[in-house]
Amino acid sequence: MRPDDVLDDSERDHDLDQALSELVPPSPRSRSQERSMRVDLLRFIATGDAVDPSGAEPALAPLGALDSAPLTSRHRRRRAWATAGVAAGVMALVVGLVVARPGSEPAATSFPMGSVTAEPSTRPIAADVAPPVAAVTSFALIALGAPPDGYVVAEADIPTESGGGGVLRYVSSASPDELWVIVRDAPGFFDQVAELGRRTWNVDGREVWADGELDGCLPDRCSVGVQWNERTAVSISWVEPEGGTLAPGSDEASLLALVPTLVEDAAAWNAAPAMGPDGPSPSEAAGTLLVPGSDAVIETTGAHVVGPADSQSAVVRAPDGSMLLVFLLRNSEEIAAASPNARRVGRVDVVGFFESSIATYDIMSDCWFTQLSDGGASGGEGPWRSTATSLLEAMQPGETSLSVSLPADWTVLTVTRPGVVYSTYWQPPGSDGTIELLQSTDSGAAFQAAIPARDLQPVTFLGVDAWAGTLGADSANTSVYWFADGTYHTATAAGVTVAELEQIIAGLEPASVDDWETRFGPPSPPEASTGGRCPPPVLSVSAG
Amino acid sequence: MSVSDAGVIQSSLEDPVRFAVIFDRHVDPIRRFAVSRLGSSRSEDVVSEVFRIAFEQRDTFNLTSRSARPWLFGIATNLVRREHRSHARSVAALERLGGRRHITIDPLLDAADRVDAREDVLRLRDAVLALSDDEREILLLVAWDQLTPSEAALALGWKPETARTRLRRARLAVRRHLAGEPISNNDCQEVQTDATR
Repeated sequence: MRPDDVLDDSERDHDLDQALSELVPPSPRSRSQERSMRVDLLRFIATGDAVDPSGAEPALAPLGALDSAPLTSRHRRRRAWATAGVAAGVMALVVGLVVARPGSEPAATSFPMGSVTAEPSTRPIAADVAPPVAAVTSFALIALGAPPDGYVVAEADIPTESGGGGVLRYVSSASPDELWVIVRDAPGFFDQVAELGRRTWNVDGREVWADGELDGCLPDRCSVGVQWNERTAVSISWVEPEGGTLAPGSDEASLLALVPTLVEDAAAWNAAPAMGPDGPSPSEAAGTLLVPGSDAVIETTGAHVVGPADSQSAVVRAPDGSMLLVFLLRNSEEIAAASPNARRVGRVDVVGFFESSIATYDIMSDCWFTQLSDGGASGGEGPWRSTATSLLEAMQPGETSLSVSLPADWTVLTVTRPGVVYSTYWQPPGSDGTIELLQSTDSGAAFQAAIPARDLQPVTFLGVDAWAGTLGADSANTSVYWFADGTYHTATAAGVTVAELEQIIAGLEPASVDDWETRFGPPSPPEASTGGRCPPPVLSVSAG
Repeated sequence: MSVSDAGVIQSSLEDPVRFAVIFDRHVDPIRRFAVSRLGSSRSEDVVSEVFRIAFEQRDTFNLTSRSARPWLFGIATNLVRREHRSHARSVAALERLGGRRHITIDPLLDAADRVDAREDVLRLRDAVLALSDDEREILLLVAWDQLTPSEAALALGWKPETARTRLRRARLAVRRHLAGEPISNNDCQEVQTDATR
């Protein structure tokens, strides 16, 4: 080992690991032994029996007797929220994947491609994207206190579990248009709408958002929404159930006129007939997923909640085009008090970790823990690069909150709470390359799971504003981030252009969350809160 | 282009024989891990068991992870712990019977016989042996088995920050041991706090 005093920390670690490696016992590889074990494994797979060629007692102990801590759901949840790990995994998955072009010619596309036509809103999202913690209220069942003439409650789908949503459906014999009141147990639900720069109105002191699939009405749907209290988000929607065209009066103005009539009325929900299985569901109303057609080769799918309850995260874009993630959760664990990589930056004490391709910076207070993951560092810049430190300098810690006032020219891509990320890996017909698609309907978690990106530039993708860049250090990986039909999407593939990726995505089929889960399976259970003596911390981010 | 471990495991739910691909990909590092922790005589059963358990529990694998390596190391680590507990019990039984009192249960104790018996190697061995079980586990997973701290955290079922903290403490303790420095009270408190969590 080299003298300790001439080395920096990472060099000391490397030297120590090198020295330790000299102690590794020799373990010459025995191919015959491996073949024997492989045969045993295949026999076990085929028969379910643990076979011992010697005839001795099977080596496999009863699983229940095994201390299998790393296999518990807690472990899997930790993996899910370890965003840097998720991102590294995602990045690693994409690295090396190559989408074969259909031919030697560039792929044709019917979409306007490759040009920078519009930039997603960079307006500040609400100064505090989550209400003060002190304003804790319970989830509320909201109804129309004064429905439009002729409209009566037809049926209700009452939310039955925490975190769920419900629909109260009003119909009229005079019009095919229906009115839906959709309630969601969703703190900060409209944060994602705010990030899109949607129109907003002040109605009786409440901030009301255009929360439909577009910033405006569709021919058969029109919706506005309001955060009723900390936990309850409510939307009022006109719906033409047959997919026809809404009547002229079924518009935003009439919905806004109904906002002052909203009241907490659990009795109206309880008195309504239960909605049948064919009725609308909040998940369908919440967003549309994209799935490959039957001619595609699906390699892997998954549905996992990213982040423990009470956590929040923000995905932001730096002026250099790199993507950074701020992850905030209740503090339940110490971090190193004295580390050679500790610094004070602005108002926060930070410990840097630079072991993986994604540099991370940990910040801890008595009540919360924050991790900043810097995807841009994978571009070759070293630890503590100026982009990361300028974001750290923008942090204003509070006792139970963290506020981030982004410097000029920074952009908020999403500020979100934990949500389900639906992941699909597939090969398009005629291709041997893999596309990765991450989607989330109830939060911006799909963006959170898809870090780290670099060189993000605004583009138009499938007709909506989007960001396109490269994922990780490999510039061959093209990633696109967009929001459409109530869903956050990220698509990544290697060796394709944005136009080619758009053409591939355009060929996917829409599916509701229920459809997706029926086809591929339900999501893993959500992760419990990390707990702690403090209330859940509040993250607020404002754009520069 | 090869399919990821997640893809293989997913497909093995329909076509179980596909799981042999996971064996082919990972048997060597798992075998080296088992040999290094248990010695060659007891490693073969553990390696077989790792893949049998992994096969049986493959529906619990987090498909958002590309590599199965940390997951397999997690299973292997538990099996090694169980072996150590079992072996320690047998040692204690022998001691009660007045039998052999010094049975090698850690291959580190044989290190000096394998490596040139330089003084620094001996001190390094002693420093690692002086670590707590948790600290030694993560240090060796990183130094011997080439897992990243994040992968080691997954394997051990720890939070990443816990793993990094323990790895940092382990390295610090080894360096101090090598430098002839005592472990400070502050370090002891940290370790104690850590152990009580």
